[in-house]
Amino acid sequence: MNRRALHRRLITGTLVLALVACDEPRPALGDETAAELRALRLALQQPATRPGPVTTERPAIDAAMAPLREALLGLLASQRQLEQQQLALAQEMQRWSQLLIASSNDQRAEEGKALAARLQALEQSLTAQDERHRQVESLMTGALDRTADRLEAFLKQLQALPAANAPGAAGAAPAPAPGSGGGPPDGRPDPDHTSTRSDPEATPARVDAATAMRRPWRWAWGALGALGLLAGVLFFRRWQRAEMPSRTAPNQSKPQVQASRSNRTDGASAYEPEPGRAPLPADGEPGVDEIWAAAALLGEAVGRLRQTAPTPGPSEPPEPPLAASAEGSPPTTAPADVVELDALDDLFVIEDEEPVAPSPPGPRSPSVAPAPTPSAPQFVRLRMPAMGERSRQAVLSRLQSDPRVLRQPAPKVVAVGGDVEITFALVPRLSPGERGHLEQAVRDDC
Amino acid sequence: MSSTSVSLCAPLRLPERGGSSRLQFGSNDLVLEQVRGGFTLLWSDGREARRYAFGFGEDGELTLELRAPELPLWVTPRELLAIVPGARWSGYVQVPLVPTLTWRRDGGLPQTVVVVHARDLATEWDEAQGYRCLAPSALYVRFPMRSGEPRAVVPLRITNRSQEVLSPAAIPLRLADADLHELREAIVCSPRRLSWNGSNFVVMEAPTLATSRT
Repeated sequence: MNRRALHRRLITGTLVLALVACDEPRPALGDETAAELRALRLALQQPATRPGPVTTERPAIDAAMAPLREALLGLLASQRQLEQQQLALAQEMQRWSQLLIASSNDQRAEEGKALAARLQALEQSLTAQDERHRQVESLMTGALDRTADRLEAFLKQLQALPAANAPGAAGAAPAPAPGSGGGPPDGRPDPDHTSTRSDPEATPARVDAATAMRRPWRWAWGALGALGLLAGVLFFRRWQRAEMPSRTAPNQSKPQVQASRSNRTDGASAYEPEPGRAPLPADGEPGVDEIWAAAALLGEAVGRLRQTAPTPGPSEPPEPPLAASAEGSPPTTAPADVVELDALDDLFVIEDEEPVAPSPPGPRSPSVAPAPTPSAPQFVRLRMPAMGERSRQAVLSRLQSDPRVLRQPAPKVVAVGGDVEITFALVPRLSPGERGHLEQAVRDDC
Repeated sequence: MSSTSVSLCAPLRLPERGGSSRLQFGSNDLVLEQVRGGFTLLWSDGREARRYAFGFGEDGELTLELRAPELPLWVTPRELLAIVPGARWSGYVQVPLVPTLTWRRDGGLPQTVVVVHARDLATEWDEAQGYRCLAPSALYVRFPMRSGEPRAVVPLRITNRSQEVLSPAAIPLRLADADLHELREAIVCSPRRLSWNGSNFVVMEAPTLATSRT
């Protein structure tokens, strides 16, 4: 029994071995892949060996694909640009995150607190200085107003005096003919009226009246000259003070100086000494500023006095040409370039610590402050009611992205009392329609 | 004027009453309509649309001109440019032009109707330098592909004649309308050659383009 079973198993095993031996050898997986690759390569090379139809179709294919190629190139260029923008954004985000992490550090937080306290102290000192400045300004304005009133009354009295002695009113002798002794021989009016002394018909009373008429004008011109002298001395002192720190800090480069000058016009940091500069005397610079402000107010008062002065009559000596042109035509320094909607623009008057070219006070310029050049930008000031932070950001975003607004000086939105003052500068030669459109858009954003 | 080609001067036809005429260049699209009391123009630059109201006569023509910026231009390169002493860089930059609508009566001088300030042309002013325009641009080593946008291609060569490496933050250019030419369906400016002497850029004489302004 066991032998038969053993034989059967041996026969079965032999048959199985014979069947397995007759099967084909299975190739390895790598060989199969290589064979497929070889076949694919042959299939790819085969059309390349057929030169006939391809060479004839290639120009047509190229022509048909040319627009697609251009479109693809454009897409590639835009993709590169987008990649660059994305990279820049990612870098900026990284910097912001680093800054955020750094600000969360304890030491940084302490430094931030210290800086905040320092900033608060500086703001308080600035507020005190501003208050003191306003007090001085009100004092000076009151004194100047009183002086101007007295001078106006005096000039009115003087105006009444020649009116009583006028030839037409008194029925005196007619005006002398040219060359007859009443004027210069060439017929031109004598600017100094020296020829009245040679008039045989001139009585001593008329000579005295004419002399009295000339005295206040001499006094006024003398006052203007004294003002000019005072302003010159002040400017020289300011120039000396401006030169001294630059000598004491020779390592400061020119761009830093210019940047500090431009920053100083922002107003908030007007009196702050710069880090690289030697500090100014504590009682020096603000006092000079107050004197400058007083001189500016004095110049305005004199200008107003000259505008309210009586116009010369036919018997009065003619005005010098400079004064006549200053009164007859608007001044070229004019504040026509500065669009003022609410109040006087004192950006170039008081807050500018170092005027670029301060013109000495004289008959031409009633103000001592440096007037903006004709190429100065046009500023627009809008006073709006208080607005929320979102509206403020919207206004700033509009002004910063509008190409009609200058990037520098940058637009500002400052809270003044309970209102908000929006200040921005316009590009040159902007039409009034464009300006109005821009202002309305800003109002709509508020 | 197609959307990918740009020309210095393109007429804008005055439509009949109730009709409209259209002009497209780059991403800008202008639609002029005649309505009962006058004309309206809708100008879209792809991001913002503005509407204008005009009153035109019948004895003139309306033209869209692309003009060079009048103020001194400073091109701020998007890539870092560094030139060693004695070396030079040649390439192209693109500067934005100012689309201007002009009205010209028969035989008269053109009058500016609307100036559309370019969005990527920022203007600044300071006491030292006065006004200046800032325009960012990539530095191209080949002639830029035309896009139809109102920009001029400026061939530029900068030579560093100083003893230090030059890496400018901005490149000064001064363009004029007479320097602009139509070439390769784009607007090309006369080549500019600048030389850096260590303290400032010096404008050198550059060859002029042979093409004439069309």
